[in-house]
Amino acid sequence: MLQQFAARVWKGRWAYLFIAPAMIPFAIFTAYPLVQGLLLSFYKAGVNRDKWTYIGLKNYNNLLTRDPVFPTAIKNTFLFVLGVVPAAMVICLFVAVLIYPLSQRKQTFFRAAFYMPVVSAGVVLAMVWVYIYSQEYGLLNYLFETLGLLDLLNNGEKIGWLAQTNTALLSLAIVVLSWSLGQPLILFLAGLGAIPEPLYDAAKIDGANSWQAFWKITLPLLRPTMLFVLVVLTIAVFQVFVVVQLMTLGGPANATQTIVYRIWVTGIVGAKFGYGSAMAVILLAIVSVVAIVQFKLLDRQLT
Amino acid sequence: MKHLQLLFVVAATLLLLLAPAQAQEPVTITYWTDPALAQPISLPQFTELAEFETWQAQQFMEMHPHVTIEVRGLDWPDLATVVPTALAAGDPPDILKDYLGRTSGYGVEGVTVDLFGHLPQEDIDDLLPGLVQLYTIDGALHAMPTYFWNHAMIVNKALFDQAGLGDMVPVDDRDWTFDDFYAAATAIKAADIGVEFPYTLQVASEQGDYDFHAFIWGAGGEIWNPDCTTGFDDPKTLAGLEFVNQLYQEGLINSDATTAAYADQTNNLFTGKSAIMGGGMGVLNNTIGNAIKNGEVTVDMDPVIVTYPHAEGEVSGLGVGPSGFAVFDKGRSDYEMEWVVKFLLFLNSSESQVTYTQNNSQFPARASAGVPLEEDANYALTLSLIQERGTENLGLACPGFYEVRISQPPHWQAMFLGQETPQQALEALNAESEFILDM
Repeated sequence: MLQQFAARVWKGRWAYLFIAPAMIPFAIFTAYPLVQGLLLSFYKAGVNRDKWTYIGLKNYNNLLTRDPVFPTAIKNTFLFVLGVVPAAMVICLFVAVLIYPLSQRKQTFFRAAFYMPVVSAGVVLAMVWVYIYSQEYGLLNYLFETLGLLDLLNNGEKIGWLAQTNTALLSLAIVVLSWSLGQPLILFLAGLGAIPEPLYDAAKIDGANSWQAFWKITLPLLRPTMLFVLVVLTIAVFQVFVVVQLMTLGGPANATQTIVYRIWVTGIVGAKFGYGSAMAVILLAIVSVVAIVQFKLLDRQLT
Repeated sequence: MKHLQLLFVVAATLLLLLAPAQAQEPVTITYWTDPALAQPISLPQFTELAEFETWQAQQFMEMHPHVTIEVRGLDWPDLATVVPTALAAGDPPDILKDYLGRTSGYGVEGVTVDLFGHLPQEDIDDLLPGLVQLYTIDGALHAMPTYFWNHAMIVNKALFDQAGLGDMVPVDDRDWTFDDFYAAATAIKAADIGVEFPYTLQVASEQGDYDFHAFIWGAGGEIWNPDCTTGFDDPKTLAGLEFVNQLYQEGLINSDATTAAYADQTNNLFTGKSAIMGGGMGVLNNTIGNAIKNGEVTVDMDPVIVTYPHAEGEVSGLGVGPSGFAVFDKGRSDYEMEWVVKFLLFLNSSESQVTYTQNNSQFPARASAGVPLEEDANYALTLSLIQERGTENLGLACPGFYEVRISQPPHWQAMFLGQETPQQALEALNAESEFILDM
C-alpha cells in the first residue's frame, strides 16, 4: 500500500516539483493556520497559552445562541454581499460592453481609471470617503443641497450618512462597490476579447440586432468569466473589514458590524482567540456553501 | 587542615575574581511603551514615538554597557492588538508600559510577573497605597504604577463671559448640579454667540466613555460595582443615562456624537461650537495648550476645570486612571530578572516620574516625587478636588473590563438615535455584560 503510494509519487515527481513553489507557501501560510484556527475554535484561548482549555462546541453554542452582536454581523455581511456583488457584476459588465469597441488607447484609459482604487491605499480612500460623507462639511451633502435634494429627503437638514442606522450600511456598501469594480472589469474585457468575432458576423447575417447578439452570444460565452468573477468577488466582499474599521467602527448601533470586524474586535483586540476562531470557521463555512452553490448553479448552465 | 584552609582561601579568591565577570554577562531587555510621552512639552527635541524612551534606554545602557535595550513605541490602537498577539505567540516584551485597563487583563490571565517578590520594599512603600491596591490582582502586584491621569470637565469660561453668563460657571467651588449644568448649557446655546452644542462628546468608540460615564456617576450610578459586577441594573445609572439622553435630544450635545472622533470634539471646543468638554490636566495643558500655540483655537479661550455635574444629594468624584510598567513572565534567569528589575526601577524612579508628570501633566505614583507641577494652579486644584470629592470606580482592574467597555457605545448610539430608550439600552447592556463575564 505504502509502496504503491510512493511509486505513484515518484511517477509524478516532476509534477510535484513544479507545483511545490506554490504548494509549500500555501501549506505554511494558508493550510496550516486554517487547521490551527479550526482546532483553536474548540478552546477557550486567551493570551496565556498555559491556560488554554478545551471546551468542545461551547464557542459555537455561545456564538449562535447567546452572542447578541454576531447575528447582526452575519445579517449585515449578507446585506453587503447581496448589495455589492450583483451591483458590481452588472456595472462591470455594462461598462465592459460599452468600452470594448473603443480604441485601445481609450480602453486603456478606462481600465486604468477603474483599476486605480484597487491599487490605491485603502486607508487613503476611506479617509476621502469619510470627508465625502461628512455631515457638516461633506461633498455629498453639498451636492444634495445644491440640487435641492436635502429639502426633498430630509427637510433641508444635512444628512449624517455614516451617523444614521438607515444610511450607514448603504454608504459603506457604495465605498466597497467603488473599490470592487477594477478587477471584474479587466476580466470581463479579457472575456469579451476571447469571443470569436465570426459569431457576431453570423448573427448579423441572420438578422440579429445588438441586443439579441448580447443575450445570445456575449452573455452565454462570458459565463465562465462571470462564474469566476462572481465567486472571487463574493469571497472578497464577505471579508469586508477595512471600511468598517476606518469609517464606522461597526456603528452606529451595530448597523455596520460585519463578521470579519467582529473577528478582529473579539478575537484580536479582545484577545479571545478561540472565540474569534469559531467566528472565522463559521465565516469559512458560509463562504464555502455560497461558493459551492454558485458553482453548481452556473456550472449547470455552462454544460 | 592547613591544606583545607588554603583550598578555601583559593576558592574564595577565585569566586571573588569570577563574580564581577559573571555580572557583566550580556543581557538584552525588550521594552515596549505607549505613546503618552511621544511629544513631551518641556523636551521639544523629542518629537517621534518612543524617541524619549530610547534616550532613556541609552542613559541606562551607558551606565551598564553589557545591557542592550530594544525599545519599541506602540500607538494606542496597536497596544490593543500587538501585545495580545505577541503574548499568544510566546514572544512578549520584557517590560510594557500601558494603562491599567489593559495591563490588568494580562494580570488576570497570569502572564505578568508578581513584582511583590522582586521590587525592594522601600520602592513599594513609596507608591501611593491606593494604587498598589488597584494594581494587586489575586495577591500579586501585576505591574508597577507610574502615574495617573484624571478626568473632569473643562469649561471655556471666556465664552460664558462673552455671553454675560460667567457667573453660571462654578469657579468658586467647581461644583454644579444637573440643574445648574442644564441651565448653563441651555443659556449659552441661546446666547447666540456661535455655541451650537454646549457640551461635546463622542460615543463612536469606547475612547469617549468617561465623558459619558461621568453623568452616570454624578447620578450616583455605577458602570462597575466594587465587586466587579456591572451596575447597569441600578436605577441611579438609569437616571444618569436619562439626563445625558435629554441633553442630546435637546441639542445640548453635538449631533454627530455617534460618529465623532476625538479630533472632532477638540475642534468643536477650539472653534467655539462647544464650550464644555471632558478632560483633565493632560487636555488642559497639552491638548489645549498646544492648540493655542499652533493657532488652532479661533475663539477666546479661558479653560477652567470643574467636576462633572451631579444629582442633588450626590457627590461627583473624578475619574482617575493609572498607567504602569508590567513585566511579562518569560521564564528568564534570576540574573536576567535582576537586570529587568534594575531597568524597571530606573524607568520608574522618582526623578523619572517627575519628568513624566511634568511633561504629560499627570500625577506621580510615588510619594517621593512630590507635586511636580506645584506652581500650576489647576494642578493643585485638581489634586484638592481628588482629595475632597474622591475618585470614581472605573473598573479598570475588573476581569472583562475591556469587553464590557466596547459593548457600550452601540447602545449609547442607539439611544441617541432613538432606537432604544435608556431603559432598553441598560437592559441590553446588562444581558450582554452577563454573557461577557460568564464566558
